Amino acid sequence: MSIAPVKEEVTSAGVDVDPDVPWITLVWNDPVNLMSYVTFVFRSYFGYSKAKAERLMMDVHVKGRAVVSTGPREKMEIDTEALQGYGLWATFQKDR
Amino acid sequence: MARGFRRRGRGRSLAYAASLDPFERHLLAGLLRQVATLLDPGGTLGAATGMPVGDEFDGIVAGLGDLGRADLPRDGSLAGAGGPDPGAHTAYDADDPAVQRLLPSGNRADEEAAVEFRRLTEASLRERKVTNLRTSADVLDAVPEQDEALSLGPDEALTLLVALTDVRLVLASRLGLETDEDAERLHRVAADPGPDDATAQAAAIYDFLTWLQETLAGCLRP
Repeated sequence: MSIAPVKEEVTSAGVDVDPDVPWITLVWNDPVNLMSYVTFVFRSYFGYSKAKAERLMMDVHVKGRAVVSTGPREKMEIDTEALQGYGLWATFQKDR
Repeated sequence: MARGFRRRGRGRSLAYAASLDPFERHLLAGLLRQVATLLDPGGTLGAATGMPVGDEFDGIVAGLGDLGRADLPRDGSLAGAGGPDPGAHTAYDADDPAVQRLLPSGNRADEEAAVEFRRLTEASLRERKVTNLRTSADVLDAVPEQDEALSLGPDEALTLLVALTDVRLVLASRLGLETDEDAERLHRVAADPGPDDATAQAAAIYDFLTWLQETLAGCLRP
């Protein structure tokens, strides 16, 4: 009876100190990629709504970069590689 | 006179139709193959089934110059390499700014993570790009010589949309385009050529590709 709560405690403590969460994927502004294309990529790769994709695209364009996804490191690496495949200037890093 | 992409039909007959004259089509196919060669000088990756880049194309873009780098051996070999080279699969110019833009660093905050990411992802990323570029060039080369109508299925359209990005990234790098202001200046050069014909021609080609990609991005369903 007492084992389960202890286990749960250990698990949640482990999550709290997990250095791999959260990470972010960033897309940086570049003078080549079209606004329509960047929006298209955010919609088709992430499945984001048109409104969300356009907001992120404008953030990239105006602020120079935008966080386009958040999660565990492995997922951010997959997103980064996929976006680089589309020709976007994508990077991943630890959220700070 | 080219006409941009429009969506035609629906369901199984969905297609993306444009009109390109033979000159424009050959130009685009040639650029797609040049960028593929930049990433894969040995021609060992992807759908390497199409026609080699011929004299006709060389003539068309004489003013543009080679998208490749003069200091890279044309056969893709590493200068001075003797005997079996364990790194032969990376026999492209990793120091070329255009290649660096196509295969950018994955992490700007942590060099160690960036190196690890490159080790894990670069080969497949490069192969995917080369396959995209050569597949699109093959589709264009398969159009009957005098035809102007170009009709792409959804997969072909997406492949070309992405491949156009890589061609424009390389052209932009060769033209020294680094900021949004540079892009506007380039657009003005293309519209009103000055004495530097080579740059004006390259700028006009870049403008043409930008326009073509815009029409395709505008009608593709995500």
